[in-house]
Amino acid sequence: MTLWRRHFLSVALALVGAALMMPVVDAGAASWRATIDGEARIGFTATQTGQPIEGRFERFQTEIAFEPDDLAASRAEVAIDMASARTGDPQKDAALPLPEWFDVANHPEARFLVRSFRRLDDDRFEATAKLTIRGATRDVVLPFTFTREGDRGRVVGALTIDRTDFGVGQGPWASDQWIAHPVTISIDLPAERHPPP
Amino acid sequence: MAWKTSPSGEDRNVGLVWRNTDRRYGVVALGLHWLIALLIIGMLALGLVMVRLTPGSTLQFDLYQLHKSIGITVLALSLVRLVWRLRNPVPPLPGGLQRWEIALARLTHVGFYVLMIGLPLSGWMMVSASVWNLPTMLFGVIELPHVPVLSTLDNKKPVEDALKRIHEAAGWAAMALLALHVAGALKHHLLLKDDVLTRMLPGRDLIARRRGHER
Repeated sequence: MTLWRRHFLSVALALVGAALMMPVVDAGAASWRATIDGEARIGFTATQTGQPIEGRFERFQTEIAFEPDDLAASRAEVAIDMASARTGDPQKDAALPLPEWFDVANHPEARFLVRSFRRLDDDRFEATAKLTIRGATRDVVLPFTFTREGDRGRVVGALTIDRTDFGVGQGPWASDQWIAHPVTISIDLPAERHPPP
Repeated sequence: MAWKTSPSGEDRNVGLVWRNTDRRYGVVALGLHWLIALLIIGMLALGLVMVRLTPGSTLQFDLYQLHKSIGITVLALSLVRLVWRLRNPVPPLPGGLQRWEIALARLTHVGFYVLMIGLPLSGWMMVSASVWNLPTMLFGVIELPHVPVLSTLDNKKPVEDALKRIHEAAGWAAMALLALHVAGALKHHLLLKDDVLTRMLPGRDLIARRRGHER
């Protein structure tokens, strides 16, 4: 008897078992990915002597596979091109890349790497992540809502950081007298459902 | 002298007196003088006001940027003016002036050139050496690079402070010079009743005319 014929039954059983299991594994394995288009937005709000400064990052990349019903398998990583910060004020836009602020020459990218997701409610979640700006990494929690309509979804969230935790604003700018320490980072990312690979 | 009459017999405007004559300043010198004068008065006012506003306020920040933008404009215009001045003799001072009056007039005018160029330069240097490292955006549009070396010093603070004192002192000197200059112009016009003021004012003799006949 050849090896094949001797083990034929066990192989056949294994295949049938796998075939029976497939639908179970299939259901819910589709995940949500962020679509990078004109609508995707990562913005920031700072405060200059009481006045808000609104800005956004025009270039960023996301690697997100989010499954609300399988958070353990979900993952998200965002890389932000720090040279793409725009506030609408050329004066500020010229200052942000400088060593006193983002120091783009030495730290061209900021990274947001999710370690775990937590569900709070039907469409309210929390992402615990490591945020790296200007070479400094801190643990942060990003609360967000994930809403969906058919195959389209939307992730909206915001978190507030202390910019001095990351060294953003050096020398005289480290004082909160001119630019406040808290800075809010907000995300608004459209998402679409992707079939399993 | 032969007199010929043109068909119309009237004066023709053939343009403006661009260059100085031996009687008055031409349009170029005049235009530069009053334009720069207006800007300088504005700059002195801005300088006095802006440092007294709420530190770090948006208004103060915006006025500082305006001050820098106009300052570089004055620098550019003054350099043009200096070149024009060196290439165009000015009308001679009126006769009958005392030696001290002549010296004072010359000193005031030289002093103005020194300040018109030195004030913006010292401001530019101060901004370049500043620990704040704020980019200079001229009228919010074009970035003026920092003066090299100053922007990369290891210990900027004392250099920035020294340049700030120089810039402010020069500002006060400009105010004093301005008062002296105006007083002198008024003295010539009201007391001496000569044409020193009027030859730097717009007038009909700025329009070049050719009469219907030739002289």
